[in-house]
Amino acid sequence: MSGYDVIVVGGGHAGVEAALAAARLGCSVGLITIDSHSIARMSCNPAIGGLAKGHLVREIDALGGFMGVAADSTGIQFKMLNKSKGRAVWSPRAQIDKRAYEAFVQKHLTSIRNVDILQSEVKDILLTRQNVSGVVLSSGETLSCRSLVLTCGTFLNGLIHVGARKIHAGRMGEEASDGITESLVSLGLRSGRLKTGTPPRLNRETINWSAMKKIYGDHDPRPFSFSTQTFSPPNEPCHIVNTHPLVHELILNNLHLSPIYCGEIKGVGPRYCPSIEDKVVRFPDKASHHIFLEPEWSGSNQIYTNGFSTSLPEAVQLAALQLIPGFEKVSFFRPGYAIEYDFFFPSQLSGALQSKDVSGLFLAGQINGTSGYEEAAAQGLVAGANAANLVLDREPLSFSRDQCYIGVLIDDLVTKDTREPYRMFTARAEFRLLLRHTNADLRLSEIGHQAGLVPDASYELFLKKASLLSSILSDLSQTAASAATTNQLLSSVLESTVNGSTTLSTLLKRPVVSLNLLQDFGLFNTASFPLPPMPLQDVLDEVETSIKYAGYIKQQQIQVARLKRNDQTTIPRSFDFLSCRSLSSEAREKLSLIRPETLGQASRISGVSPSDVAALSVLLVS
Amino acid sequence: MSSFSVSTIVALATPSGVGGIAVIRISGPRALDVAASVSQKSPADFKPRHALFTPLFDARGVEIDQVVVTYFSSPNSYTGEHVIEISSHGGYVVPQRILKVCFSLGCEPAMPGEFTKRAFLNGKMDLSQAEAVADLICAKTDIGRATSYKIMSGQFTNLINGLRQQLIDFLSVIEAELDFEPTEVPALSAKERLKCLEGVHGTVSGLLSTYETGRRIIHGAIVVIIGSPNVGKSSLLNAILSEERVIVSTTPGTTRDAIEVQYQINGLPVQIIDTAGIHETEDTIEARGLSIARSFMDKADLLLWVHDNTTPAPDFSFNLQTSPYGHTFIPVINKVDLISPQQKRLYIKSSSHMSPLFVSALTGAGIADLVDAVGNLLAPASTDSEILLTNARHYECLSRCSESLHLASAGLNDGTPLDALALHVRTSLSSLDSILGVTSSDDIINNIFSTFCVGK
Ligand SMILES: Nc1nc2c(ncn2[C@@H]2O[C@H](COP(=O)(O)OP(=O)(O)OP(=O)(O)O)[C@@H](O)[C@H]2O)c(=O)[nH]1
Ligand SMILES: [Mg+2]
Repeated sequence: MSGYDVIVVGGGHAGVEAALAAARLGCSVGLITIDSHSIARMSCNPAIGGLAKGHLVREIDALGGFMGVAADSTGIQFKMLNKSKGRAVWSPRAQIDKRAYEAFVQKHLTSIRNVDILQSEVKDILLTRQNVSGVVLSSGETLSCRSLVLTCGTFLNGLIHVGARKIHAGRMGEEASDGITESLVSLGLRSGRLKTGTPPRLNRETINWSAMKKIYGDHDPRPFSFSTQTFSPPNEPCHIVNTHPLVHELILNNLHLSPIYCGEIKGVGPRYCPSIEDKVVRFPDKASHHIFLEPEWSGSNQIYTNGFSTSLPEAVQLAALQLIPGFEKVSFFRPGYAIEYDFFFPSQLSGALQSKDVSGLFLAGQINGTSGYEEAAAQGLVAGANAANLVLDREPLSFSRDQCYIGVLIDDLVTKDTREPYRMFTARAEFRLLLRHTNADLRLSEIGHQAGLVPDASYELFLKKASLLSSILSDLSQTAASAATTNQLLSSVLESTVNGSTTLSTLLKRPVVSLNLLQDFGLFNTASFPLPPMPLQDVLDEVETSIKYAGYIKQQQIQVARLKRNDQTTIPRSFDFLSCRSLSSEAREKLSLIRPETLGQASRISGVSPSDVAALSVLLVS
Repeated sequence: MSSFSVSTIVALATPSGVGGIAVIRISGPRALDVAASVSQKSPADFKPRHALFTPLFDARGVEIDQVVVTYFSSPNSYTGEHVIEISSHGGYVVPQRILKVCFSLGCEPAMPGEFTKRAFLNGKMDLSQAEAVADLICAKTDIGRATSYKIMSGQFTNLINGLRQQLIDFLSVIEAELDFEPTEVPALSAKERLKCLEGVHGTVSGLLSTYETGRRIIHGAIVVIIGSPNVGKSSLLNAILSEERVIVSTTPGTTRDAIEVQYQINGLPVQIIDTAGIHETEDTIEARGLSIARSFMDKADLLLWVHDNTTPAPDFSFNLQTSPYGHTFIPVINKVDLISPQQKRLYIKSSSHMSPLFVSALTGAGIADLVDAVGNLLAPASTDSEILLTNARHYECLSRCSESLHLASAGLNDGTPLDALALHVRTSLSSLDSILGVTSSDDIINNIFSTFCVGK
């Protein structure tokens, strides 16, 4: 029987990162996908990054992943979000040319020597004594493997709803996959059902654009990838329109035709991505909702209606849209729809994304209950790397909540067992001020390089950045500006003046003082720094942040230290929670179901109270 | 992990040697077996929540006493474990013999607070309630018990939960602003933000300010009587106690070592300490004398600084008031029976801005007023309705909460970025969480979804 070290099932964003990571670590990889032309397809919105998701992309990049590189090369509009809300929550986002993106990724993937792309469908999983040993394809052929990464997206028993119409499919126009759910269930894994949706795609030619407000990206765009050295991407506009009460009325009158409202859909949908039906019903006081019109690719005639996700019948969708100024004659390429699919409760996985029961089985992406390209890619990277680590008999790679959003993501998944599609928010990261997009490489490059994921060239660039950062910081703390210059500078920005000379880092502590301002007054000069523009910009941002946020960072580090002990206390696999009488009965039940690996994980399981954790810590010692 | 086994503990639940009836409590997996064994019955004879009248026997089978045994089955008991309560005759001997036979059957003596700890660990009460029980056990007087009871019965928990909810609502707005595009979330004005934070801060500060009183109510206050030799300090103590507790004489230097006496003022447990007189030289109070009294003054919640009017009027604005000890003190002029009203006026005039209390330890004049003044200073009235903070850990948590709230309020005006502001508010919320032993992080995200139309 022929085979691979690692088999990855699914060619979405999780599958791609998984295959690349496993290949980077030297394993032979077979990527099995139903349609090899749809690898890396952006099946929903034509954008990457955004609030908290931008952080994930930066972290993926710092760990040697590919999403950031691909987005930098195929983006058509870049914007830094939250610029006014604090440095830790600045988040990069880009509109992407979908076609260019998938082509770019596919080309890269096919160039990798030890990755084979196999167009086929997996029907069953083979086991040898609770270890994965291979898969059975729809052709009846079997392939052996040591590790298996499942990244099946919405394809497992996918069921599309458009009004009363139901279509068995993984995405519109692509066949659903069956067999894998049944196979996993027979291995004892628990599955559930989720729902997500996507809005209609409109025909550019049928829209009256003159009525609409244009939105552009930043004039000083910043890339996702730490390896992007110079950057001048296109800046194509999006447009914005608003719904109004008549649109809402029409939707309300046809609510009985929406499969969500008439009880046809049983899966749970995401609250943060409500359908237009949901918005109108739940917020009747809002007279208007925004719709963002985003081009699906450069110069595309297919327009994505961000904010109008719906599963109403096609005719109702069209009628509602045509009430909006500019859309009087609109037609679509395809209607919005809702899709239900199977997922597996992620608490059945370890922090390395491996099944706690079946060795060699890794799950990543929507199959774990998440939504979003970035969330999927992050898990794919970790699952792929660990699939390889298992083959290579190396320690698995896992991350803590204070290290990165990826750590928060996976920890939330394995301890909280999401009930709705899980999306990253910065609010989920309790150590948010430590996890900035600008320091993702400072946090992760070392780890990524040691794990074998980050190539030497990227690592060397990182080392250069890190040493420049510390030398600038020490210079700023040692260089003093005269009272005269300082006060000239301060009065120029209407700040209170000082008496004696002041160090530059003290000056930078003031919210309105920036390195640029210092440079304007001849106190700082970036010209001599030996880095290309983009990496240099990262360093300068971090310089400012480490000075301005020093107090907050320290406060958070103290909080991290306080919690560290729980995360370092491991719980033996055989630990019998049910027999611990000193735990509350709810905690006993939850703990024995989830089987946390550490006391820290246990403390984050809902229903496990701090007193249960206290009791557990006593039990673990005795 | 089955090697971990819970012990069965036993202890006397009523004060030793006091009262006609003693209650002995047994808790743990073997409680029922022990009860059956000491009463020479079968475990099946005990029905949950039923009292059984039975003789008890010691290890050699000799009857100890006729008792009432009540069985509470797990988890419906105080500790959540199997609990047996034995009501026996009081005194020292019988309860001690019952305890002894329980020990011989493998019960372990309960550590102080261990029943409560088990109740807490078994989820029978939250952290602040458990702590109130510990305070209740320590409480020496009736108001002390009432105060602890308020906390135990959940009034305190409700108050803290109310504050938590306000902070969760506040944070939801901030977090929604951080995690969703600006158009989606109704932003709060700076004024509304400040109002909310200051509201919570006000309540927290109010609670913190009750701590001194609350702590004294549970743990008692210390009042130290100081003054020159022979001014009548010991006499004053006797007058307050209305009994001849301390030796009094005409010879200066009668009291050599400090004498401590327990007393109650308005239900507040007070320890009154009578000290040796501080020597007075020609001009001023000797530094040496002060340093002797100092060790007592350091412990004091209040000083009674006694003078007698046969010496020149003291200058109370001097020394103690400005002393580094910074103690609250009441100037007391004793032996008022020896002076005329005219002299008294003169005395008031010369004692600058402090208004001394005039008493006579001999006749009892002014003593009641003095006791009232002490009571008012140590435990201001209106303790019925408000919740008093009694526990050092709660005080600590609330102080940290207050500190973070202060930073957050200040941050609203000084250009603190929104993500850092959120850190301060989160820190204050988690300080409140740790009082009750709960967590709030999921509540914030859920609250955002239920309140705002977020997401595209
Ligand atoms: N007339 C009068 N005599 C008093 C009064 N209070 C105390 N004396 C007398 O003053 C003398 C000293 O009283 P003590 O109470 O021993 O004084 P003290 O301050 O404790 O003295 P030392 O312990 O020696 O410092 C005794 O003879 C008391 O009877 C008072 O109010 N009126
Ligand atoms: Mg005396």
